[in-house]
Amino acid sequence: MSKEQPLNSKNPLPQSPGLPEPARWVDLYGDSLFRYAVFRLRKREAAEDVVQETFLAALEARTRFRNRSSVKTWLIGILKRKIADHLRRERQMSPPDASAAADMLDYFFDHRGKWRLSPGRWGGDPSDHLERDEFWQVFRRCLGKLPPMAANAFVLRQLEGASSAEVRRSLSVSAANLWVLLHRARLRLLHCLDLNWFSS
Amino acid sequence: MPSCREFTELLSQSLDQRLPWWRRWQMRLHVLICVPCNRFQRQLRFLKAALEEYLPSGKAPKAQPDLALSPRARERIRRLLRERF
Repeated sequence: MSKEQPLNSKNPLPQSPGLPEPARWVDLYGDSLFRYAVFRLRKREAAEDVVQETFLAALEARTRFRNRSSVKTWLIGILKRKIADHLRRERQMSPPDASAAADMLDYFFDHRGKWRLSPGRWGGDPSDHLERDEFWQVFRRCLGKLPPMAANAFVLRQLEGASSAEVRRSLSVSAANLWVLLHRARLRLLHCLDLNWFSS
Repeated sequence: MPSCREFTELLSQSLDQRLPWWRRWQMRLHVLICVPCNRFQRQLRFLKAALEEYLPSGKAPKAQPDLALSPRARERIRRLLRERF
């Protein structure tokens, strides 16, 4: 195989075993990848863009696919990188987050630092909630209500499992900034779930 | 002793870095006597476990099972793949 020849169907390379031909990828995997991306990016158009980037990157890399993982796992791996890239680009294009963390915390705590509203008691087996479609729909809506930077920090750290260092790099924030972003995200998210799921 | 507000801040920090032992002890004491903070801690742990263990396991149902690529996006991606393959 000559390295000079372009990869296209006129120069068929042995297709990696287990990998369907690219013409079928959108139909086989497009919607799953899209749902994964929308859940994290909260915007359809952005999700469509990263799905497109993922398929194109997968096309370039298709001869390197090894049948050790499933195709979907392999594609999700690429998608995760594209999502992180997207969030990094988004951060670079947006002005620094000027909103004061302190204002927001006053909503939750009084001048003595005590809770204004007690968090609710979340009873039941976790699976009672986590196995319900509706729970994840509420979760998605609550995530959508967060300020963008706080949401992105939360998504990268707790949904994508990136390390603190990776999240700081992606979002160009200091350790102190990141902690503030995550703290706000967690307070708001839990409060939202409290109101919209656990107490209704 | 930390206030509830400080407790929640420390709790958030503790998820991402190891706090000094005396801080951890303060937090343990606080959460023993403070019901709202106890609940908040449970909520936070529930959320962490849900996202770290449950979501990746594939057992979580799809948040919007009918959500799909728009026909336009679908066709655009197909076309791009055809052009480059």
